[in-house]
Amino acid sequence: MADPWDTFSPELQRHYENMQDDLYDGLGQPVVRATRQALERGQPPANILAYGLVAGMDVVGKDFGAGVLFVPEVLRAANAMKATMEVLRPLLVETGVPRIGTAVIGTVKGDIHDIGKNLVAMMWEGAGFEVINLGTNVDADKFINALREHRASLLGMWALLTTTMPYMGTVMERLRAEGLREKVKVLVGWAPLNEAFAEDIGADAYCKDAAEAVTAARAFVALSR
Amino acid sequence: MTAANNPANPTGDEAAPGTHRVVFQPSGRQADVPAGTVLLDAARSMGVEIEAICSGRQTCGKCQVNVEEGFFAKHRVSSGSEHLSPPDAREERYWQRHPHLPGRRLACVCTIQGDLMINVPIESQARKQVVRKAVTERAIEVDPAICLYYVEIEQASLDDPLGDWDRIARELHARFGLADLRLDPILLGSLQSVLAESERKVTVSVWQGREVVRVRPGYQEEAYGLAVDIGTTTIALHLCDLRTGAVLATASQMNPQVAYGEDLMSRVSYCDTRDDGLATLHNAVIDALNRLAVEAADEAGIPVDGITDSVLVGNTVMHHILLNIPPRELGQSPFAPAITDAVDIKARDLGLKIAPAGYVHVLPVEAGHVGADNVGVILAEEPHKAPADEIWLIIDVGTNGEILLGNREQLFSASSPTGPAFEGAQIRHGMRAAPGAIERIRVDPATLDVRFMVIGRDGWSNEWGSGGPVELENGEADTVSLAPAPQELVATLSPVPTSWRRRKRPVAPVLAAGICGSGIIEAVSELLMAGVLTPDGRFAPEVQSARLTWQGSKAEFVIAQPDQTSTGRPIVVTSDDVRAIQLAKAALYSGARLLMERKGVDHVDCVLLAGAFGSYIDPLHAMVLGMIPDCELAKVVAVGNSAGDGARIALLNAPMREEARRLARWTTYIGIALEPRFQDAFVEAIPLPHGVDAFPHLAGTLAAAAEHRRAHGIPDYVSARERRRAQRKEA
Repeated sequence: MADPWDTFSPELQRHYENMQDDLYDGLGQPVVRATRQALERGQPPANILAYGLVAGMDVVGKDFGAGVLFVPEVLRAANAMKATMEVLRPLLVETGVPRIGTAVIGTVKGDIHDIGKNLVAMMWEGAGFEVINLGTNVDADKFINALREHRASLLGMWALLTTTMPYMGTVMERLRAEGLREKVKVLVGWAPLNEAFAEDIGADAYCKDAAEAVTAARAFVALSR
Repeated sequence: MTAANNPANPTGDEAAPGTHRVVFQPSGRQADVPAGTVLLDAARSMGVEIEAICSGRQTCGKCQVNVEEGFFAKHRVSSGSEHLSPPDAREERYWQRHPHLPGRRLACVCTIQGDLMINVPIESQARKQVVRKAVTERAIEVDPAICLYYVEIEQASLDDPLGDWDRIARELHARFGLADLRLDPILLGSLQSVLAESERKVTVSVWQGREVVRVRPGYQEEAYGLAVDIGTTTIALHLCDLRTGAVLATASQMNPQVAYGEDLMSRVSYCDTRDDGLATLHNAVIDALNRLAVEAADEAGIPVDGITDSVLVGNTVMHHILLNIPPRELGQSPFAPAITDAVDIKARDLGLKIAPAGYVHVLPVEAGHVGADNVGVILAEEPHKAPADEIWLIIDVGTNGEILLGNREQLFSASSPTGPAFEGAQIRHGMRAAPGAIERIRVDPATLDVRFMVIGRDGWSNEWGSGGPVELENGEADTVSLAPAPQELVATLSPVPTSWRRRKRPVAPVLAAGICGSGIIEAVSELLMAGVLTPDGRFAPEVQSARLTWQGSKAEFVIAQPDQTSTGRPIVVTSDDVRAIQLAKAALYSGARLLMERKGVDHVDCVLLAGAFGSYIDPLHAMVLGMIPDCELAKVVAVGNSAGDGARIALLNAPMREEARRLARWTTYIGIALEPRFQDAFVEAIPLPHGVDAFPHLAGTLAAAAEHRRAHGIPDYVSARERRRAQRKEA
């Protein structure tokens, strides 16, 4: 399949590249402006999402994984993306463009660590997912209700304490009991967890950082297609 | 991968095929070791020093170790005694001739057959951990909970059948006005024989004016007490003379609970997931306290049962485990302690072997994350007496950074989840403060040459001379010398306990074995000042130096060359190390910052660095790193082990125990993780020294660093366009 990118005029390619660069540099206003310009020129919202935002966040994610960027830079880029999505989201809904998936994410009951989980939520948004961020101290009911309500295909559970990670097992049991287990892929993270723990509770993957969480989420979506 | 080149890496993946992961406690060293390696050899290759006087002939039995059972998530190790080869004939023969403590194995014979968590008991450690918690000299008004009264009582007779205790009580009331005294019934058994032995002249020890806790024959004037700080990694105990307030002896050791979990949460899990978990951890700390009490009493030349009072402090988890309270609730939000108020309990009820009727007083705690140790810090540093126009910031750097901010009008406390990076965990060549640890580092900005100092050896590494260790002549006894304390501290630290100096044996000069917390702080700030690191925490690819090597986009900077290290391999600081330190310092800084915002101030007037670790942090480097907010450098002061000092104050001055209860209630605890601005404040604090806040007191230093970067054409931050340009150039 030919990449639609190749059909773009050099000028349009440059426009998208500039957008990606401003996103990388965390410049919210220029990205929003470029998005409006692209819309005025008749670019479909789905294209702007894919070639401006998701492609830009891809580079951010890659450089984060490589250690070139760190948390502040990634959050700045994610915030720029978020501001742009405010403009784009209603149009995407209007035009009925299917998102690549919906993900529910939260830090489990008893645990109030927020930042690492927010980083993953933003990176997933950056990868084109619709993300329902339930915050911290989330119990099984809240996870289950959100999964049902948003027909999510991805569940991310986070914990940073050895004392709170066992609750993930409780949520997994509830998923099975409610017949939801087959409908969602479950990702868990991160320190002090490991693959063995993920396997024990029957989760689909353990992610050791936000970059891995994006790779894993994408892989599951690709599999389900 | 051999044991030799796998650095301690707690976040690493599973052991490579054909190897097993072995972790030694309490040092925390770990490596993947080929199956079949003799345990002692593995220990040596990893720089873990186990005694072995007979050099593996199964005669000395010094190399005894224990295998811990179970899964240790942090190290990804599933350990069990079956992962060592079963005792062979040689080892069986040794145990037939010697007392066999349960679970002990000889490291010189058994071989590695699976993943292992090995605990090296104190007596088997060849180099004792240097535990650097000393008592600072403070003026404390001596008004102890124990008061002595000398009484002479009359013999009972058939006409006057009043009991002997009642006679003592009557006499104490008549002569000293002590009403409603009770007697610990445990003393009754020996009461009459003491009276008989001393012609009915006795000295009674009265606790808090309420209870007789000791009856001694004749006139006596000695009374002793213990002040103890139970830290997550270190226990420090001071034996004090309750009359003079003098510290007679100090003893300290690693907290033996380290073997069951390095951080607080893994200890909470240990208690929660095992039937005997709490008992195991409780007994471990009590055994250690008993051992230290005997050691201190021996050094002071007093009987251990002459100790009638004690004050203990510790963080909330240590507090609960000490008191045999399941710490489960402290492991999850809302982190509710079972009790915040102070506790008085009989020492014998805890298993503490001091005077049979002696007491333990545990200072109150403030909240689930701010414990009795922090109350001790308040007692010692008295921020509640700071003038209303000054703002004091007190930071106790440990696994959790505890923060106090305020003055006489209002005092806030908080706990920052700094994680264990400052203690050397999560750092490639990180280690605790022990002999061989690099604790000071200087990087020459012009040449990028590095010199450093290690604990246990005098002088900077560039003055060591070449050619590695110098072998001393046999019999030319030298002692393991201790880390030189910074000059300004020497005057305030009490003498080094003699137990640290007792070991006389020839030793080669100490070589670098790793980097401890103060070393890693200096490394990162020195590299920033030299222009090797950028403010966003990257190694600058533009820097040309043989010390800086790249693997993809990640770099390593060599601190110690192979001929300067005990392993013969370089000691480095990596990109990931810098990131780990950035997160830890951001947690600390943002905690302080949020308390400043609560208080409505934009600067602090002084910064007190409490805790043993605080004493070894250089103020300039801490500020360049951005651990602490901007402040006049002369006003950043190390105050030593304030928590332990607070315990000593409460031991020597009983009314301060009431004051501590009042202060614990008066201090406002802020759960900073729930503050709305926490995430922003944390992220802003990740760059070096800070993403937003100005550091006017570092203006010259930071400008010089920026100049070094400019000279090499190093941009402060990566920009997308720069990146694209570089990529195009490559393509």
